[in-house]
Amino acid sequence: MKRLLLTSILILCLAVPLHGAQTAKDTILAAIDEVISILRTGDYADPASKDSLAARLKPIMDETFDFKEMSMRTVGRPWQTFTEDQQDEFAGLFAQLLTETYIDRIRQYTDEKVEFIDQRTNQKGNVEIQTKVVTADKEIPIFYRMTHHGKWMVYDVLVEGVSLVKNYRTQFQEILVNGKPSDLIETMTKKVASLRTTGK
Amino acid sequence: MRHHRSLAPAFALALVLVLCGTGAVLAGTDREAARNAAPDQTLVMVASAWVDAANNAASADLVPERDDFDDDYKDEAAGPAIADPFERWNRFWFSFNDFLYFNALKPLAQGYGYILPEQLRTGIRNIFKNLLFPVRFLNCLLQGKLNQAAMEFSRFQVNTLGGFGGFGDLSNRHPDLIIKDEEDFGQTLGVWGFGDGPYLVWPVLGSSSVRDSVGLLGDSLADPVSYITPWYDSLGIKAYRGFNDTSLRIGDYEALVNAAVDPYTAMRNAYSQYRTKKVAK
Repeated sequence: MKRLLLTSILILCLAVPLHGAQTAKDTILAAIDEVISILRTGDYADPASKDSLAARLKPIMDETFDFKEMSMRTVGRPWQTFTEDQQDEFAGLFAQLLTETYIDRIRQYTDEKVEFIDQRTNQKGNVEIQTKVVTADKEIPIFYRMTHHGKWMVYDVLVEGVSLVKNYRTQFQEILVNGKPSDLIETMTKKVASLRTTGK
Repeated sequence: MRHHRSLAPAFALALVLVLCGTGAVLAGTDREAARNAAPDQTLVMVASAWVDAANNAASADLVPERDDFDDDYKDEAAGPAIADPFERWNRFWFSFNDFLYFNALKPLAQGYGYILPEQLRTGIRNIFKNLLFPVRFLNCLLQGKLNQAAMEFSRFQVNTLGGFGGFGDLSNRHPDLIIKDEEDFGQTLGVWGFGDGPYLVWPVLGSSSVRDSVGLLGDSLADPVSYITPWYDSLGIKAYRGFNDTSLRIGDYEALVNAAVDPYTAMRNAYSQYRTKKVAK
């Protein structure tokens, strides 16, 4: 009995730090640090540098954002009417849209700092990591909602209380009320193509 | 001369508020320390005393609020977050504003930004923001947020007396005095139980709702700039205030349009989410 107790304590001691190293907070803060350190290495405000910046940031974004989960949540209930191929195609397009627009936005990064504020967990075990971006004269709250599918990944971002997923959901809903999944995919394809031509 | 007379009541009120507040607090703080400290340190001390007093007087309301984090799809069944019966009117003015922004406002604001350095434009914005203190202060009181009202009051004193009328926004250097949520009358109406009402897009002013349009009218009554005569001077100053703000926010609207599949819907939803969050805070 005593030995069993000792063994289980030992196992617990081993297990806790292993699990602890992969918390949602650590994951997102490490990703943010990595992005900031890349942005600090050069002046990416110049449009000509967009491709080289994108090449360096894309792997981090793919690691951090669960684009499939985000797609499912933005489409909402009609997601069930998508075929598996359509789901994959849509998730790919949505990932491109988010990656391109995100990179375009943070190219203008100057010397803002990111600070951790707080975190909370909901009933489903999803975690919201609350951060703020501090600029010279204002603070912008940015919250990351994360879910654990093998590792912690972001499924929604809230900027000043505005949820990205909800915002896209209203846009997609308008298309899906009268249209089919293929119509939404077509709209997304056009949108991504237009980013390619005008986004530089 | 008419200008001066019409401004007098507002300034007199402001001065009385500042003097009363400073006198009352200084009486209660360590005069020796206050005398030895640098001027803006004194102000921050005064401000801290106010905040502490307010913290003791009014205990914060700590009712846990239920939100969308637990119920991710709550909004899906309920339909659009904000009603839009005037969509045709709204879409027209949205396109109009979009055209106006890209073809007039943005190039002008960029030119203005080349002439005036960003620090100067930020300072100008801070002065105007400081002048809007009555709007925020009154709405804190109307919502029963005594703690935050005291903070607004302290900020106003610190900025007016130590920060050249708000130019330097000194209060931002003091962590206790950073206000994360600025109150307005639209939010007050929301706290009182009024819903958004239909979504409305106004020419030049942009996104609003029926409730927040009433809010804007209410706020202009508490805005000192509204009492400048003749009326076109007042309007001119307000227009300049908005223009100066725009010059500091170039890129925000572009980012929204760029990321959106349907910019009109994206803007409407962002507005609705943002205001709902502000009312809840």
